[in-house]
Amino acid sequence: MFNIQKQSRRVRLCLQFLFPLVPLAVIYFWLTAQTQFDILTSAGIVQLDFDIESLTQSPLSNSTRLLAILASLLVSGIVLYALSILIRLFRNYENGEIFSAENATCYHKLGYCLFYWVAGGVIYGGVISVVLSFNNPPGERVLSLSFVGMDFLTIVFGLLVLIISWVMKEGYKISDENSHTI
Amino acid sequence: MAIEINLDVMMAKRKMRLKTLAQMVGITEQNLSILKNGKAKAVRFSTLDKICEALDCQPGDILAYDVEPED
Repeated sequence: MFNIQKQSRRVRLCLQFLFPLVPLAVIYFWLTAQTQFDILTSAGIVQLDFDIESLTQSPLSNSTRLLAILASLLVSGIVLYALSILIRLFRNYENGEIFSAENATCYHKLGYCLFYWVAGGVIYGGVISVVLSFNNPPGERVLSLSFVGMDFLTIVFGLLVLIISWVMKEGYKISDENSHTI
Repeated sequence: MAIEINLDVMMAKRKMRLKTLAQMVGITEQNLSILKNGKAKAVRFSTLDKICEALDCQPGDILAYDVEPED
């Protein structure tokens, strides 16, 4: 039990550190994309599913960067939502609450987050292709929607997390019954 | 539930306080209170054994089955 609490505290602190970094990294990336200051791509921290150069024929304008930031922040909202659930979950573990109704709900929400992530990713791919190619001459603007194998795997993973949430709910019932056994 | 807990009645008959009984049985006052108020979902035989020993009574004096009236 002590080990769970100790490791959960570490994980929670890491997640809390990551939480503000995600939107900051998104903003920094789009402000510095295609410039010499783009450390995130050159260091391999950020790997995009699409190629910016193949979508746009001209350098990124300020309005394009702004729209790309807005679109990316919207999809990052799913990540932030998932992070907030994980922080709550590991805080509960840290406080010694392992099989609780709230934790089961957290797993349930995390499973749905993975579905939202896939749906958001497909929509984001379309939006960002339009945003990046909007300054291209007519006839060379692109709307690109993609659903790759990784998305399918994410849906499968989401289903697994949902099943785990049901197992956790059963675990909570057993734990509750055990705590009411005198 | 149709099972009634008459622990408070037996405790009153024996003039036993909750704290004293909890100490004699070896459970917390909180748990004994859960049992006394009928909030418990199960009772261990070992707990029942110690309660009966402490109150000098039979399990039937503490637990009773009350037939619920049919609607």
